[in-house]
Amino acid sequence: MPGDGFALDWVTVAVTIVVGFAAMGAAFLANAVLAPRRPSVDKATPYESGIRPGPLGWSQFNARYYLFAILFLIFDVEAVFLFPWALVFLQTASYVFYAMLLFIGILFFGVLYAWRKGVLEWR
Amino acid sequence: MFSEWAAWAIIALPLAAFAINAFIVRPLGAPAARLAGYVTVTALAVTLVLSVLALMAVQDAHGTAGYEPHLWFAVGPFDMTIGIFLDPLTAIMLIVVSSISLLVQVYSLGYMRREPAHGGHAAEERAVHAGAAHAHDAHGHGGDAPVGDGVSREHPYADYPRYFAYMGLFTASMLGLVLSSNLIQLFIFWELVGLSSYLLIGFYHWRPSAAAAAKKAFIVTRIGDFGFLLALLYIFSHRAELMAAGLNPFDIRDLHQAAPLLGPGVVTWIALGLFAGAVGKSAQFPLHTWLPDAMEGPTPVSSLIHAATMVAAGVFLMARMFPLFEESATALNLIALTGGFTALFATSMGLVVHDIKRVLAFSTVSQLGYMMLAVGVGAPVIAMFHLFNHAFFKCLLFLGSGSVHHSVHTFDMRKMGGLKRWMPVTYVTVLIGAISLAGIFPLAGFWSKDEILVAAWEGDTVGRLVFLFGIGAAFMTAFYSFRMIYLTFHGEFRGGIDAVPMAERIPDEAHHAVHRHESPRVMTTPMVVLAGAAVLSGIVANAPFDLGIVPAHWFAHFLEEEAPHFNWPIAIVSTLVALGGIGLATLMYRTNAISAEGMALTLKPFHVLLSRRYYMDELYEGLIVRRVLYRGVFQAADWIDRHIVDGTVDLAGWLGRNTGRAMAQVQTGQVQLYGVGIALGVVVILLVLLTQGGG
Amino acid sequence: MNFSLIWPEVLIAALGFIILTVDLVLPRSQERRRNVVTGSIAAAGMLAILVFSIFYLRGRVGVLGADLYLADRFALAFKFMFLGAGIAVVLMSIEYVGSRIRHPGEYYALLVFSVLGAVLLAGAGDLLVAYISLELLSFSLYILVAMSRGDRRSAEASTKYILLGALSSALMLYGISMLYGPSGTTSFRGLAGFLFYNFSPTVAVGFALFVAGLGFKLSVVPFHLWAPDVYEGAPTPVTAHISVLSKAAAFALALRFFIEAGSPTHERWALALAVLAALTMAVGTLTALPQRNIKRLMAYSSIAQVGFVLMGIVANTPLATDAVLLHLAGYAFTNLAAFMAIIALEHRTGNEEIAGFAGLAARAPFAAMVLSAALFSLAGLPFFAGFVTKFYLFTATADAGYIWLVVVAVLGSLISLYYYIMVMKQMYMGTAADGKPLAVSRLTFATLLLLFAGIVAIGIYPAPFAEALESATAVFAPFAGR
Repeated sequence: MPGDGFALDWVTVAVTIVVGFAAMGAAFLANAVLAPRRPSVDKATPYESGIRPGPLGWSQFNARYYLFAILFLIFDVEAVFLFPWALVFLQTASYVFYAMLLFIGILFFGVLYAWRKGVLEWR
Repeated sequence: MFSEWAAWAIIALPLAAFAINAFIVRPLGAPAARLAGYVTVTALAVTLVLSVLALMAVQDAHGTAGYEPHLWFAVGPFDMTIGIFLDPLTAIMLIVVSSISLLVQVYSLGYMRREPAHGGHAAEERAVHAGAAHAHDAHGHGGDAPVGDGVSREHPYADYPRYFAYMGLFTASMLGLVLSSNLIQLFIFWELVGLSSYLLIGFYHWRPSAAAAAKKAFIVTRIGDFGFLLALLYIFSHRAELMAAGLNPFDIRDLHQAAPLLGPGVVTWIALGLFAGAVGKSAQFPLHTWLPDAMEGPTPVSSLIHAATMVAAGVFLMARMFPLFEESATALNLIALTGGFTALFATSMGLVVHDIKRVLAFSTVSQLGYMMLAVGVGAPVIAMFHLFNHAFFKCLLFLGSGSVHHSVHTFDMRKMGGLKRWMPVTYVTVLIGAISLAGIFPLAGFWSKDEILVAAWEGDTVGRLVFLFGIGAAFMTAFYSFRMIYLTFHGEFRGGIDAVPMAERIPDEAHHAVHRHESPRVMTTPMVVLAGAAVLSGIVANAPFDLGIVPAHWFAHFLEEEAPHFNWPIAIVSTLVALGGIGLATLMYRTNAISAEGMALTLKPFHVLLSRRYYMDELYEGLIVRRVLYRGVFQAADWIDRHIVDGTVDLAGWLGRNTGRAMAQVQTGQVQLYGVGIALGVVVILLVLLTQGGG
Repeated sequence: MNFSLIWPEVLIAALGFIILTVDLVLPRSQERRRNVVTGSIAAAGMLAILVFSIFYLRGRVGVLGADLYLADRFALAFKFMFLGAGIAVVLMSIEYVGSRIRHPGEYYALLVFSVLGAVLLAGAGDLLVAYISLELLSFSLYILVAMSRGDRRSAEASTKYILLGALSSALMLYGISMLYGPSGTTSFRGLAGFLFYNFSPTVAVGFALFVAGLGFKLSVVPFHLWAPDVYEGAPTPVTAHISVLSKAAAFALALRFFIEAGSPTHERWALALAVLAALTMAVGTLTALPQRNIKRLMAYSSIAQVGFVLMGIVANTPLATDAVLLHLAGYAFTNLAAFMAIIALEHRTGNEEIAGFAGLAARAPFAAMVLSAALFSLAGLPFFAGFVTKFYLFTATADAGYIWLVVVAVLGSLISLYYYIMVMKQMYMGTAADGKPLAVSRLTFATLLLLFAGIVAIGIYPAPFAEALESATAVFAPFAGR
């Protein structure tokens, strides 16, 4: 019966919502009730791999970090795609091989472009 | 076979003349202005050739040259089409429009040229004038001419670009109208004709009277067009029936077969709506008042309006849609009565006016009445025959009046007289036109008028009644035609514009002076051509017997109608009546055996009634417009407007502005808020989705 | 897989890389030359691809993968529209970029990539392909919006656009996952059958989230709030680009989704969409009234236009679908003409305020005339494209039974006439502080003339356009309820 299924589905959704809110609320509540509150400067500082962070959390820092981070990320992602491809490309249609070449080619072009535009130089 | 491209070219050529004159010649200014005339004349000459070819093609094809209409746009199953509908009726109209228009343009080359020293409108003539012994001192003090239209008023061709551009548009609209295959298409051209006639009647827009006349023509015809529009909407509301039968609701050919599908009731309303449009355009009672005032335009414009374009459109529409009208006896009777009454009514007003162009104007109204009458008694072919003949002699008469004005600078017949001595060509041609108008054997007017009377006589009761109207109108027409001839060309010269005191002249006339002379050849040649047509068009086009080159009743057969037979008694009666009218005019204005003044005194009430045109203008202006509309309706409307409509509009405006502003307040520029908007949107969609047909 | 079907797409991608390469090769110092060269390559390249597609794709239709990518007449029609719009935007950019945008090569390359995204979107037969294409389009636009030289509004606009765009993309992706979850398919055709039998609340949530994401791209109320800020902040050619290309592309997706996947369940979502359409028309028109900035005005005006087009999707009849395509085509001409004229005027006066348009009719009569014609067309006056296309749209919607929606639309059109005329009033009645004539370059003149001709052509003789587009919507013929 579609009607029953619909109603049942509804109940599921409702329960999910209620439980979701309840669980989140409970966590916050438990935190507020149970946690001992002894604030200190060290606790308020953000965690940054064990290094004491700069003068202030909101202070400006060099935007070039972003460029490097993004370039790093691009090749990271490339690797993520390369691994599964490397496992199966022999069994799949030939265009899958060329597709990956194209993908790497485009990324390579990106590096070249960034290089030529002087992004890789720290100025 | 006549290519469809050629048919479109018939419309496109004058339109191109308009575009060239308006967008190329006019901006070039004085040096190029003179070209404007040649542009339009050339375009129309080619148009005339094409029209003749079209006529021959239709003749060869023995009927309609069938062009498939083109899809303009389609909305669902309804197709809006445009196309060319070239049948014998259209072919005849093409000939009439393009030939008359061409002759008028040639005439205008002379008429619209101005004298360098003058501010006035009508040009003085070139060669004859230069050599004339007549003293020129009278016009030596030009320069303070009334304000013109931007082009230097000193320049002899200053009026050319604007004039010939408008003329191109006017002719193109009329040609487009007759070629239309679709009623909507026809209506668009119909309105374009109205628009360009407005521009031309108001050509001397710096004269208050011209501006007023243009406005009047536009508004009065618009009243009729409203009926036309209602008919269109009414047809559209019945589109389902027509489309079910595979007909296109607005295609004229399809509408011809539509009557049985729609039933007589619906057809009657459609017919009456279309007829209302024709009443406005063809100046039938009670919407005739604009036509006499339309004299304010340049005379060649009047000539074109009266002969071939504007007013012919109404009669053409009646003939075009006749297969539909046939189904409604009510509508036909109303058309016949309106036409017959208008014929009688308008001629009576023509008896007493002094302005030569107004005499002609009333004669046009009454002749159009004849045509309507013919449509109403079921003889659209005869109506078209009369339109055909009338076009030539009426155009001729107007050009003649312009020629007279060229010489004496007034249209007032009381200031004319004896002009035949100085203007022999004008005299002879106008005389031919007048005889034709009066309907004397064997000139053009006789043949078609006689056939109309026969058709009416053979009709039912209504036919007999309008026959009497027609006979009455014939008498008076003959009378005033010759009154006009005698007053203008015979007797002693009464001074022309010189006899008008400066104080009574309008500014444009201030510097004019009479110098009696024949008009230049560029003006007289078209008149001579037209005079030939006025003599021959009736006998040649629809002769009762075989002429050798032209078979008997060519016109009627061409329009696929059985030939009307010649009715001796009626021919004799109508001729006698016309001769009687001429005789009376001769006694009163030529031999002075009967005193015109005495007659006017004896019949004073009638004379006053006629010269005030039955007080129709007063009725419209004074009573309806001033009293009913201004005092009553407008004041009420004003009150409603100020207190209710304004309030509502203000409220709406206020609401609009403030809700708009309130909504714009949401636009804080805060991204967070925008995000909230998106979240809200999701919730709204979800809610509506889930309430719809869930389960 | 028959890759020969996507040669035009491949060529567009290649064109983007060529522009970038040329930009790399040309010396850095010659910025002016780089602008002209890369701009010309972009315009000429897209024109060449357009011409190539016309001949190459004649009769070549097909499907790539399992309904992944559809090379059909519908996609083809949009391909032409997007390439044409892209060319027009490049043409209106060249002058503007020279003085106001720093990296011409990247600018044109991104324009080309955004065109590619739009083209791919029109061909997408699958939610994931559509999503990727949409992201390609959106990312290009995010950057383009930010490219104005030294204009803080531009950076702000881009930031907002990215943040909200990311949010809406996430919503859309989440919606796709919720549609995929129960159905096990992401292709439109696959979804159609599934939705008909299983319109469960889960699916409804997925549907709603997808529509929300789509609504953001279309700037449907209440997902529209980004639009005015972005329109105002972006370089004006980019504003034109967003208002035409991104809108039309999102509508291509909407048509595919609602017709191919949604037709069987039409009565479930029709009301939701009708409400959104009515809200969009009302808010768009009313909020446009108090605007002082021409670009913000155009933003609200195009929001209102989106409402009109949505009506056609709500109606979901073949006639309505034709009307949607016709309106989009007419709107593309009209809006491009309006923006072209606005750029021509604004770029020279440096004033984006409507009050700053005072007396421009005397200073640049042709541009003012084209702008007036475009605004009249947007308002839907006869003899311009907008009249015909709205006539189709309104007739189709009324025929489908949504009379109330048509009433809202007609009222909206009437109100819109007011604010369009206010712009014209400034141009024709106002007096300029500086009466010198504005020189309009030959390129601008020619482009304006072309776009103006398009507006008038559709307005006077729409039949060929309508017929061409009908063959495009014929691809929807097999779907249920039509």
